[in-house]
Amino acid sequence: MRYLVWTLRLGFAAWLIPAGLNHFYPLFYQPLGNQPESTALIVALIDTGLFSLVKAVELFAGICLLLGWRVPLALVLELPVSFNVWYWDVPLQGWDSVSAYYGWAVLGANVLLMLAYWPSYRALLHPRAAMHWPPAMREEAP
Amino acid sequence: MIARLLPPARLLLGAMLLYNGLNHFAGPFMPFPEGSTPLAIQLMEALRFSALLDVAMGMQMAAGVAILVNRFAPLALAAVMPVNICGLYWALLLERSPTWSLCAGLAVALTALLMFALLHRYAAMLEPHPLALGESAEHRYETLYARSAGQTGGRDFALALLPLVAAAAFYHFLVPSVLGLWCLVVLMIPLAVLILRALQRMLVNPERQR
Repeated sequence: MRYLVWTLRLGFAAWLIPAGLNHFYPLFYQPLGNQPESTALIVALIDTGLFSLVKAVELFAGICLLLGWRVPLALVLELPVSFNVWYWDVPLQGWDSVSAYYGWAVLGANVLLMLAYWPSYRALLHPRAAMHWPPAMREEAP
Repeated sequence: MIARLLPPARLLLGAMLLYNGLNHFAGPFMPFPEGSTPLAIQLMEALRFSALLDVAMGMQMAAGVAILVNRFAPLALAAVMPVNICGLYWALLLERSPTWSLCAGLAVALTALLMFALLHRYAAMLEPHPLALGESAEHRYETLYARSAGQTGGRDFALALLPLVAAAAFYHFLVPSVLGLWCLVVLMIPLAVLILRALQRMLVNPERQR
């Protein structure tokens, strides 16, 4: 099983780093979409500078995955970006478009890798959670 | 002092998020911010046109309910934080409106406060080097692909090459050339680490390689 996880992790990191870096140091053509909705969205993101934030998160997550530092946190930070990549590639570009393969691949890799780190997220999904102040890394005994 | 503020902060944030979502889907009960500067208008129109605004407002509404009833609050807070940060970015940097900036800033601050109060729920997620599924202290990604100081034996080296070859094959055969090439360049880094570790093994224990 670990070899499958490593394949996915290496593949995802290898994707995220050039995809993030490309915005700050052009390496390849950045697709702008071929549907009115997808083009309007990506142009607005680029013009407003929000795309820089998105790409910085992508680059940071890719480096964390590659170098093995705070991988569960990096995957959580990357998840909203992956969801937006999927939204742009699949519903906006078209469910049967070539872009859709990339959208499914990115979101799928992110979610599958999060499942591989399931113990790191288990506490997050607990239905009841007591709040404490000052903040503590461990839950205090009642 | 802050501990006493947590329950009202939770209720206030939950109500704000729920109201914002309801205002979008069932309202408007109060004018929805459309923007007054060119960039603020452009982004809001693009979000509306692409229906991504519906997704964001749906998330705020669902998170608002979860936070109000205090069910799955850690998940709801983590999910809604990116939406709130985007709202603050829009209000503060694009629209430059003091009123909207104050509202968006309050939402981000309350979300952060409650996330800090639930830090113990996020603690496992913040660990620097947790094990992934199938990994053990001896067989883990970091040891093979990220730490060049150390040794990797022949069998482990050969097995560790398989994921690299599989990822490289994916980018070589299935991804357009220029993009695929840069992905392959990134894969050279873990490959270099793996080779360095194998070389150290050979240099330190040459008799084992015979």
